[in-house]
Amino acid sequence: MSEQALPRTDGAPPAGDTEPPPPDVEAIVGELQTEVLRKRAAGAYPADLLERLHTEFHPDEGLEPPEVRVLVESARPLRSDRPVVGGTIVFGKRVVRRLLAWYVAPIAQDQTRFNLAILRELRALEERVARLEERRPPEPEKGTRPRAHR
Amino acid sequence: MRLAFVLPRFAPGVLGGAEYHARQLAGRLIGRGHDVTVLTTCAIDHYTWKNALAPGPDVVDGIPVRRYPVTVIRDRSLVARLQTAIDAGFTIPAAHQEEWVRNTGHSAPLLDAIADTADRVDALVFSPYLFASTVLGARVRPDRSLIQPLLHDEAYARFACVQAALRGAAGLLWISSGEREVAERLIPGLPPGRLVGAGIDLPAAPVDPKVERHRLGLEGTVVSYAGRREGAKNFPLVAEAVTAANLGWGRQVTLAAMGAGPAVLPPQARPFVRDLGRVDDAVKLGVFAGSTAVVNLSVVESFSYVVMEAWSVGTPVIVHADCEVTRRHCRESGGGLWVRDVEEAVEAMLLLGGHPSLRARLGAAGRRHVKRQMSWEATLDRFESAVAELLPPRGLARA
Repeated sequence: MSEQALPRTDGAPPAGDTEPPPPDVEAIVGELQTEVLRKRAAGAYPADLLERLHTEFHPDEGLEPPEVRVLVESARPLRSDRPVVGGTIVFGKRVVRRLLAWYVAPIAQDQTRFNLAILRELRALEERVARLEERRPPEPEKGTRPRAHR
Repeated sequence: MRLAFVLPRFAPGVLGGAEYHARQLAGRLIGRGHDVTVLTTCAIDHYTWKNALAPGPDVVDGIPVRRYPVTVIRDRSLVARLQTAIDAGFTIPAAHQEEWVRNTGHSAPLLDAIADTADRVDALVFSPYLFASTVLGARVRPDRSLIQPLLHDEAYARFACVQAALRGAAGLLWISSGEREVAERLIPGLPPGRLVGAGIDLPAAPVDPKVERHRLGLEGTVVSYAGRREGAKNFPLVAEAVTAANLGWGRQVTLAAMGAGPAVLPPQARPFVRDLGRVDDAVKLGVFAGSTAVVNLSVVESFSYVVMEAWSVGTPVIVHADCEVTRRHCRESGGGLWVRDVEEAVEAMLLLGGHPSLRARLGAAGRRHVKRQMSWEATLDRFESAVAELLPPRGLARA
């Protein structure tokens, strides 16, 4: 597997023909990145707007801390949208919920214990990383704003 | 050559890059006089894997097909649990990885057919890499198996059973150098492979860039997007950049979004997005031709037909810097720019919108790249050479 790019096997210009060289896209991208860094460092971009748009367009990213969801509730609210038989359906659901509670509730409790244990470890790790970072000498300011867009 | 393509699904109406590519390749190889058969399942839907088509022989677009029923009924509960863990970034145990694969249309009769066929063909060609037809199928006769993975950097490429299938094959057929680079990084000890590429038909007549712009009333800087409008393809980032260009930079930039299903976006984006829905190829190429750039910020691509289609009409592309495949396309051709975030995406759009000569040079470079390296004739030549080198012909008598 030595080839780095597709071999020119079709449509290549005959020997002697001249065609413009392709644009140096590495250089163009490099200039573009430098320009963005410069403008960002100079505060030329609307940071508030960009933050707001980021939240709106990527609602799944970093909304709530995991603590909000750590407790698993086994008893869900009971409701029905059916106009006439709704009351009967809710009653039926309540009976099923009560009958299965002995089975479902311990599972929810186990999951909650697991969530808490993981979260405790995660926070301990976070503190440890923070302590390690405090000991490192500060890096020169690059003017970049880390934000994952994937 | 006698070839058997093994695919998870193969039927009219089955959409997707892998299916499109396999259909083009198989059909054109038949056109060159090769004896090609497709072995596949009776399924159409890759979520349910229900047997929707009759088992037995069929012909699709002139390609002989033999279908076999899916024999593992999808365990929805199990797959949902595994998928949750996979999507959250966890590595699931090897046994569960194998279970996940078995729930992607596993067909025991298809495996029997592969065993029966292996000695009657020069090569079994499997594609794409992550389904049961490939992972389990290539185990049947690895000595006769070539895999065209169509792989990108995702959790499934790290499954032990998937990696074992790829390592065990007689050879690999790469669709792009970027795909090969990703695979070699993720999976040590791969067998020999050849870069085959894929073909793109250049439009028979020049596409007038004004026609669709005029018909759709598109003005100013227009960037276009075609494909699934979803987070997995980073479509929200494209819309976010266009919204930012209008609201934050005060520049008029319109996004022409094409693809199936509604483009669900925050209200702020709506004035700047023209949702064209699903369009035919002629309209798509017309919109591409009339666009300042075609934007594909997906980071999970093994080839990207959209990038090639943009170049086929001389329009440059803007891709994501984190996608090795599309970034490499741009670097090799000179036909596009890569960006990392919203600010860079906006600046790239405005750069191309404000410099028509630069846009034209990039687009022309992309078009030259497609013309030279992505023609079907060149692709078929490379495919034939690759199969002959990786699995020397066995002088089989024609049936």
